[in-house]
Order: sequence, then C-alpha cells, then structure tokens
Amino acid sequence: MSVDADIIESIVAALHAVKLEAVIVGNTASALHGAPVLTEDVDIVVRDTPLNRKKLVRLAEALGGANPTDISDLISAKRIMLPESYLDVIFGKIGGGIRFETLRAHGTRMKIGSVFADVASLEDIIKSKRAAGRKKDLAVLPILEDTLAVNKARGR
Amino acid sequence: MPKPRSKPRKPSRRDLNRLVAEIAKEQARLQPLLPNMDPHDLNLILSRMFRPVEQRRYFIRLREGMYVR
Repeated sequence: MSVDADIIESIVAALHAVKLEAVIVGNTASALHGAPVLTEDVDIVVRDTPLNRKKLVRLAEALGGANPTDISDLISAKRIMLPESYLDVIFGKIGGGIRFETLRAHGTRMKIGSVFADVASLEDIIKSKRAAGRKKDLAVLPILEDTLAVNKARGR
Repeated sequence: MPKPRSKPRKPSRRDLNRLVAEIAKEQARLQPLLPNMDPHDLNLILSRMFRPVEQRRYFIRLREGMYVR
C-alpha cells in the first residue's frame, strides 16, 4: 500500500466504524477511476441528517483529527483536519444538485486495501465540476473527460 | 484509530518492465479509437489506470510552504 492509499483506507475504515454512509467524490474519486490528478484533500458526501452531523465528532476522533469546522457560509460542509491531509464532508448534494442517493446509485464500490468504498462515477464528478464552475474545477475537466473516454474505449 | 501502516512493497524492475509493456500494448490498441487524444495524455491516463489502486499517489504535499514529493 502507498502512504496515500493508507490514508484513504483509514478514512473509509473510520466511516464504517462510526456507521456513516458516504460516497467519495472530487479528485480522490477521479484518481480512483484512473485520472492522473492529485489533490490536497478527500471529499465525501453524506446524507444531511442531524444524526449524521453528530457522527462527525466521532469520525474526527476515530481519525485522530481536529474537531469538524465549517468550510464557508456558501456550502453545507464541514472540514476535519487530519495529520497529513484533510477530509471535507459535504451534506446532501454536490455541485449540479447531484444528491447522495444519486451519487451512490451511479457510483461503484471499490476495494482499497482491506475496505470497500463507494466512489462516485466519473460522469457525476465531471457534471458537478462543470456546474461548480470554479477555476480549479474547470482546469481539471479536460483530463477527466479524456479519462472517461479511455474508460469507455476500454469497455469500463 | 488509523491502522498502522505497512511498508509499501517496491515494484521490481521486472514488474515495471511488464507494466510498461502492458501500457504500450493498450495504448497501441486505443490510440486509433481516440484519434483526438494527445498520446502523452493517453499514456499518462493508462499509466495511472494500470497501477493498482493501492499503489497510486493521490495527494499533493506541502512542507514549509513548498510542494514536495
């Protein structure tokens, strides 16, 4: 296992431990699909319920991270600072209005080390980045679209 | 609690040569199907795809304000 894969595996294991259902999105998901991109964080989407919001404190404890903090007033999300990265937990839906249930239904289950993670489809990630329209999202779109084309050409 | 990290196994030269050959073979098959794709980008994507999920890099690292490997 690479150090990076260990970090993702630890996050997924902690999600399982606190019984928090989540879908990995963003560039971590893109990289899991084979896109040659790097990121600074792991983004996940969870259902927006009071119970799930409470579980975040236990998740932070399980990961040895700081207490969850708000990212901004613009999005419904919390950040957990980790020793070597950080985890952004997005509630309910991502850019383009794609909801947790849709992300999970369209996504795939991938084995990372000893755990299984729900990973959003590359199509949904591309849609959300296009809808978000931020410079950093638009910059990565061409290589994500090429990766999707390669996956399709390979019949995946 | 995060589990203790296992030391990553370094691929041997034979492993790497096999990986390079598999990527080249797939690139030769796919390039005609994707004529508008830059060959270097295709190679980059296949190089990522052919590496097992557990052996890939995912994160940029900042140390003392500089990006490091």
